[in-house]
Amino acid sequence: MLSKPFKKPRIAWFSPLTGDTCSAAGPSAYLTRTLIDELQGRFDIVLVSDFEDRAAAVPVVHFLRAFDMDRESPFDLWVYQLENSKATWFCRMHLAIQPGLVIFHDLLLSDYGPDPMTSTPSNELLDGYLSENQYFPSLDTFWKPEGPYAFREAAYSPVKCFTSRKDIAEWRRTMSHRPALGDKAWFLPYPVSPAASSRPVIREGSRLRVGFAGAPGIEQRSHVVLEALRGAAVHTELVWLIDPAERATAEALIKEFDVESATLVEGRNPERWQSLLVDIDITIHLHFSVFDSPGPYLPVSICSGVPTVLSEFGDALTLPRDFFFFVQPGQKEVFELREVLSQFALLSAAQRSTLCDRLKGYGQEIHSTKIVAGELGMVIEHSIDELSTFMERWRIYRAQARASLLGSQPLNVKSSNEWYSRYLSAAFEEIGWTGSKTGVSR
Amino acid sequence: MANVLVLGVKVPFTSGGQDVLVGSLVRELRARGHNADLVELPFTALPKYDLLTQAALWRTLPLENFGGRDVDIVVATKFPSYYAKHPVKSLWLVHQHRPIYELYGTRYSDISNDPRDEELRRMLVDGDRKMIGECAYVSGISRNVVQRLKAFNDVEGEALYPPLNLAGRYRCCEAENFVLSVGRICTIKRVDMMIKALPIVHNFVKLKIAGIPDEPGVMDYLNNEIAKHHLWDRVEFLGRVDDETLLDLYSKALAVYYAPHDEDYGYVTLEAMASGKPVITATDSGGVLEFVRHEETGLIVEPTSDAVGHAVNRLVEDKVKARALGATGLKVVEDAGVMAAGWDHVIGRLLSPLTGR
Repeated sequence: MLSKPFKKPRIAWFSPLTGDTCSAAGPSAYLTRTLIDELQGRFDIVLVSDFEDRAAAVPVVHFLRAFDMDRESPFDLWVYQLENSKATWFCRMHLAIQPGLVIFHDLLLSDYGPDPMTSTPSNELLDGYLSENQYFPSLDTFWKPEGPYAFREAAYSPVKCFTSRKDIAEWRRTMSHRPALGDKAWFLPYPVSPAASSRPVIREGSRLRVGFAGAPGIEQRSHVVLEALRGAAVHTELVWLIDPAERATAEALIKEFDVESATLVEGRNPERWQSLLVDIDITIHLHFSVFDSPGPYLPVSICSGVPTVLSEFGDALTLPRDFFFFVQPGQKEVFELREVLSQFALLSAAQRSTLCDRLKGYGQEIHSTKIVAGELGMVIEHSIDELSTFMERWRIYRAQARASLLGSQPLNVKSSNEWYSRYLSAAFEEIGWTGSKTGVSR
Repeated sequence: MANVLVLGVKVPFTSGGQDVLVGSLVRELRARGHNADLVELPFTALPKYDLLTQAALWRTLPLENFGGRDVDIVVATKFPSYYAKHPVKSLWLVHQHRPIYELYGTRYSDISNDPRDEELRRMLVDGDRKMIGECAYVSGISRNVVQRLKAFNDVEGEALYPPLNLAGRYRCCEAENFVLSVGRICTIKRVDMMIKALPIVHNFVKLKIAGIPDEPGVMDYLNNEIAKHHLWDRVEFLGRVDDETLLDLYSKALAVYYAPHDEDYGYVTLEAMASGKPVITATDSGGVLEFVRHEETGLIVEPTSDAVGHAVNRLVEDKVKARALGATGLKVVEDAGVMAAGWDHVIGRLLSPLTGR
């Protein structure tokens, strides 16, 4: 007897991909770009985004068509990515329509999402689904938005991956006790392509090329970096990777802080950052805000082996102390940063080389594309198995929603006007909204 | 000659491109000897769950025979008129129910992620596909509309631009110091963006707005913006204007501001260009961009009041440029087949199911 040919599990992979600079440079698009080839070997992945490009090397389907595709050939799992950015609004919308695995790049969100979401009674709907009776709240029920945590998104994702260890801890602390569709959670490191992680040029001496990829705002401490460089005891040349829209602000800051030598490079994205690191002596990744994680830029620096200065805050606290330089956010931040630069300038080429090798080794252990893809692949396979019952139950729930909707239509209202009910019923059936083929009767 | 019914959708107490389109089509059909009439049902988008019933009501209409006269063909236009039943149905699509398609997930849509809303959306998408599939001929009023049809419903259609209603009457006069805005006053038309731009525009430039509001609260919002920036002397609401007044306004405008979000077609664009006036529009204005070419027939800017304001100032400060843009726009419109002669082509295509061509 012939065994059935192996069929790769079918995944709907939601992600912003391109369009404006921010979404293409964001963590979701980066993760997709970096992992898609590895994952395609194991899964049949359909890329879903807010545009359509069927002619692309990896075809992209518009999110509104994804649900049509699901009807023709059901997906085994829906995967979404979530950022604190409008680029992933469409993912947030659809997560509540069809829950699945969510990769959280951020757990704190600065907005409630697109306007229609603020009027969805998400909590009541979730309670209705989880209860034995599976009821629906009345159609005019409104929901009071909660923030800044992604409460709704966390509740609607039965399986979660977090690219920030801090966010897993936060989720456990603030949300894991709330009603939700599931409580499985994993840490997913950012993948870094090894091909592009060539060894940086190792120099010694007191002239330092300093790399910085932060936005010109207080959260990523550009003012601290510039102040520190102005008064540094060593000669520094700043290489600042920016978004084109930030040029005017960055130039103004450089002028305000009177930084002697600074080069602005436009086109912030992780790949561009990777290409710059070949000729950088030390990078600075400061972050002091509960919003917006540093994203893939730090892992890229680590895997490139470039010595790195970090804020002693957030996710950085989970990193091994021997491999990095730390500064404490606050009053002494500028002085500590200057001190780090001075100390680093005294290291010999051999010492810098050792540090580089250590960082690269650590980076490859954690962030290798093959390893990350392998881990995510295991999580996906595990989730498909675990969620198969859930997916079936959710299909039934959707059918109940349709029945609830049709139950509110005038054709169901008992009335002495039989013409209305009779002709409208026939029309509903002709259009295909009711009848034996749909499995839904009035 | 054929007996033709044009199927229109009327939102009572409002007036817009749809009304112009169906009225013009009936007039031009009759001018060519056809027996044509208009069938309209009232439409409201709220409450959203009534959309199914409103679409189904079209399905119940008997449209094949009136007073012993067989209807040879019906021409549907806007959602949900194409749900009508007739053996020979032609579609000249103005737009579908946009909140379930390209406006979904934006502030212009009321479709949430409640599973009942998703089922509503799905039923309408399925219904659209089936009902449009019955049409013997499918077209849309612009490339933007047919591209949406392809993207969301996988249906091929032909772009058939509506000719201008007042073709032959547009004229160009010396520009006066006002920017003109024409159209329904509602959020998606983004008149507020032009009002908010005025503080950075040369203060001798006024804004004249022809059109009536059709959205609750919109006038309160706009008047609030005017008061906030002390623009009472610079903004004039003209309400609904007759054709002659409209032609006069176009002829004397310095420029026409028309920057709606993802517009289907944009009669206003073409009327401005037919009047030899430059158009200021936005990068996301949809069908408008099928005619406005940046630095050739108008200015296309980021959809922000800052960008709009700077665009106006450019035209104020360089009147030679403004005239050049207007002149090129007039040429484009003349070549685009949207003057009076364009109706022969439009009607020929819409009635093609009868002629087999």
